[in-house]
Amino acid sequence: MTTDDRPPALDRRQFLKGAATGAAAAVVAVPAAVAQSAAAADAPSGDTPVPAPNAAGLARDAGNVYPPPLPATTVNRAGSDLMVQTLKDLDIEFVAANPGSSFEGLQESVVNYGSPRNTMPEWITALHEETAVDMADGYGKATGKPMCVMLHGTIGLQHGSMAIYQAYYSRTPILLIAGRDDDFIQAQTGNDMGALVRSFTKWDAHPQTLAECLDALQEAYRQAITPPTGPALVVIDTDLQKQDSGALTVPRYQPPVIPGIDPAMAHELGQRLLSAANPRIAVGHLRTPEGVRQAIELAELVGASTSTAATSGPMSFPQGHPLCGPGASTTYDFTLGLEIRSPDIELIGPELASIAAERDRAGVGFGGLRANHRTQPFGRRNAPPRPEGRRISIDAEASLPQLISAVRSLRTARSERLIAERSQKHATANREAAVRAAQAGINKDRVGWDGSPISTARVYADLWPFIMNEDWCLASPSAFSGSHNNELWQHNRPYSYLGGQGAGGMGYGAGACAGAALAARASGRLVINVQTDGDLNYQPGMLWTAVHHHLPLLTIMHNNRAWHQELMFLEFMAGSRGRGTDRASIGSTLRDPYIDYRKMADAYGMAGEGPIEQPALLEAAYRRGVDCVKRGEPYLIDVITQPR
Amino acid sequence: MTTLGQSWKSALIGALACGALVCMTSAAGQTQPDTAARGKQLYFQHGCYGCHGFNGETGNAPHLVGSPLLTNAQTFIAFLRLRAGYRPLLPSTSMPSFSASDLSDADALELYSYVHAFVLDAPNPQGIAAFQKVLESAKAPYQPSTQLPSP
Repeated sequence: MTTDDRPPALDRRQFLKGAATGAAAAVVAVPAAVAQSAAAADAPSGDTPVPAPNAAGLARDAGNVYPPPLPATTVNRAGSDLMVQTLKDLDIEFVAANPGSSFEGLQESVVNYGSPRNTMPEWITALHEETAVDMADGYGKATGKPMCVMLHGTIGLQHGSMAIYQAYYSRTPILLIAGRDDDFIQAQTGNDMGALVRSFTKWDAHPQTLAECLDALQEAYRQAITPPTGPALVVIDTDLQKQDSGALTVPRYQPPVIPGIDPAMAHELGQRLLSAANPRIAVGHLRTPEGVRQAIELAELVGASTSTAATSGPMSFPQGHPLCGPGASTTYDFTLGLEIRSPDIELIGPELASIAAERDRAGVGFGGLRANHRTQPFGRRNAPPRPEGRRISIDAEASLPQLISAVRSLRTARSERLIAERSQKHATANREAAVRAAQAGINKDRVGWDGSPISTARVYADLWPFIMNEDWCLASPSAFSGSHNNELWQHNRPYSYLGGQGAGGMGYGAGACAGAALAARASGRLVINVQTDGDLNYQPGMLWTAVHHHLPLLTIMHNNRAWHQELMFLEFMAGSRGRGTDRASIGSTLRDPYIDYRKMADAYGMAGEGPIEQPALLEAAYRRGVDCVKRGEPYLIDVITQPR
Repeated sequence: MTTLGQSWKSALIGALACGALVCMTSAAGQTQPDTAARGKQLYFQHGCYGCHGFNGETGNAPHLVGSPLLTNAQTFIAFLRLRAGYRPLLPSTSMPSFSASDLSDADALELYSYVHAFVLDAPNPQGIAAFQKVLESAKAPYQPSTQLPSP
C-alpha cells in the first residue's frame, strides 16, 4: 500500500480521538491547556519587564515534556509484539536506533517480548540516526540482507535522511521504520512523513490498521530485496504499536519472485558459453553471497576466465579464484556480463533510474538517475564509453540457476574435457598475472616506505600479514587513502571490500564499518576501518556504539588533518585565479588544534593508541590492535599519514 | 595530474626558451640550513605537500624526486610561471599556477632548493616482510570460502 492509497491521516486521528474514553481525553488535554495559558502569561508587553520563566516554561526549555498517557484499556497482547514477531520471522537480526518516544511501544517489545525475553532482533544503540542508517548500510552490503532501523518522527527521519540517500545510491536493502505520534510534539509529526525521504527510498507506506502494518513490514522487506534493491520505509503510528492485537496473527511471509531469464534464453546463453573457444564472464556486483556462489559455479562449469569487481565493492567474483584474471588468452570470442557491461551479452537488472521518476515526486532530479543521463553517479563527462553489447534487462542473480541448469544439460563428455584443459591453462596464467600485479603494486607502494608522516601504502601493506590468514572485511571506503588494498590484498569473499559511499558523501564510513562489524560479530571475522579523519568527525559516536556492543572493529586513522580533497581543489582554484595558494588551508584543514583521536576513543571507552608518526612503530601497534579485536573488543590506532 | 605528466616535454622546451627570464643568485642543489627551513615552510604554506606528499614522493601528483622539471632552478621557476595566469601556456586541471606575485623568484628559489634535496626512499622489497607476505598471498593456492552458502 502506498501513501496515495490511504485516507488522509487527519481523518483517522479525528476518529480515534472521538472514540477515546472521556477520562483519557481529559488527561491528554491538560498539558495543552497549561501550555496555552503559560504562553499567554509569559508574553512580554511593550512597557513591562520580561517576567521570570515559570515552571512550565522551564520544563519546556529543559525538554521535560511528557508523552501522552497510555489509553485506559488493558493491553494483553500489544500490537508492537506482533510487529517484532514479524521482524523475527523475516530473520532481521538487528534494530539500530537512537531512542524516540514515537516508537517506545516497539522498542519495549524488542527488548521485552517473549519468554525468555527477546534477543533477536537485538537492539543496537546509536548516538545519531545517521549512524544507525549507515550501520544498516554496512550490514546490508556485507550480507545482502536488510537490517532494521527505527527513526523518531520527522526529526529522526531527517537526521537519518543523508544516510538513507547514500544507501539508496548503493542499492542497499534496509527496512526503515519511522514512529509517528500525532498527539505529542507537533513539530515531530506530519501527515505524510514518508514524503521526507520518498524521493530516495524504494518504497514506503503508512498503514492504518495493525493488520495492514504487519503486511506493510513484510512488503517493505520484499521491496527492499527486490531489484533494484534499496531502503524501504514503513511509518507506524504509536497507537498501532500500543493497541491490543486481539486474535490477530502474523501472516506467513511470501518471498518475492524475482524474474530471471526464461529457459529459451538460458539455453541460448548456455550454448554460446559452451561453444565459444575462449568464453569470458565479467562479474559486477551481485545481490547476495548465494549469487556469488552461483557465478563461481557457472564459471567452473564452462571453464571461462572471469573479471571481478571485488576491489570496488561487495558480492563479486573471488579475486584469487583460478579462473579470475585475464586467462590464458585475452582474445575472447564470447563475453557474458553479470550486472556489468559486456561487448556481447549482458544481464543487468533494473537500475535505480527505472524507479526514479515514480519515486522522485519532489522532482529533485538526482544526478545519475535522470532520464537519458549518460553517466553513472561518479561518471566524468569525458569518460570514454564502455563497450556495450546486447542488454538483457533482467536480474543476473535470479537468472543464474536457470543458466546453470541449461549448461549442465548441454555439457558433453568432449566439452567437459576441453573445459578442464582450458581451466587448467587459465589457472596457470591467472596465477602468473596475479603475481605480476602484486609485484607491480609492491614496486609502486615501496616508494616513501620509511617516510614520516606514514605513507598510505604502508598503512595497508603493514596490516596485511596480520589479516591474510584471517576472515576479514575492509568496510571503509579506500579511495581517499589510496585504494592500496586493490594491489596488495586478495579479495576472496563476498564481503572482502564493501566499496565507497553511495553518493560520495562524508560521514558514511564510521557507521558503515560498525554495521559490517555487527554482521561479523558472531563469526569471528575482523572488520577493518581505515578511517579518514574528516569522515569520523561526522559520527564520532560510532566509537561508543562499537564498544557498547563489543564489535570486532579495528579502526586505523588515515589522519591527514584535513578534508584533503577539498584542500587540493581549493589550492587549484586559488592558483588558477592568480591569488596564491597560501590561504587554501582556511576551511579545508583540521589544524589549530590537531584532533587527538586516541583521546577521542578513550572518551568513548575504546582502547587505542597514537598518534603514530614513525612507520617503524606501526607493526607493533597493529599486533596489539588485532589481538584486541580478536578478543571481541574494538581498537583505534591514530596514524598520522601522508595526505594521499 | 595526467595533463602535467604529459606536458613535461613541452614544459622543458618552454623552460629553456624562457630560462633567461630568471635571475639566478645561487647554485642549484646546494641547500643551506636557512634556505632549507624557509623552503620547507614554503612547501607547507603553499600546500605543495597536498598533492606531492610531505617528502615529494607520495600522493596523486607526479613524484618530485627525479622530476625533469627539477633539473635546475631556471627550469623549475619557468615551469611555475608558464602555469600562471588566467590563460596559462601550459594549462592544467589540477596543478595550481604560481605567478611572481604569488610566489616571488626569491621564494621560488628557496622552494626549489628544498624540493631538489628530496631523495628517493624506496627500499628493496625483498627486505620488507609485509611485501613478501603480499607476494606469498598472490602465489598461494585459492582456498574456497567457507563463508559461502552451500548449494
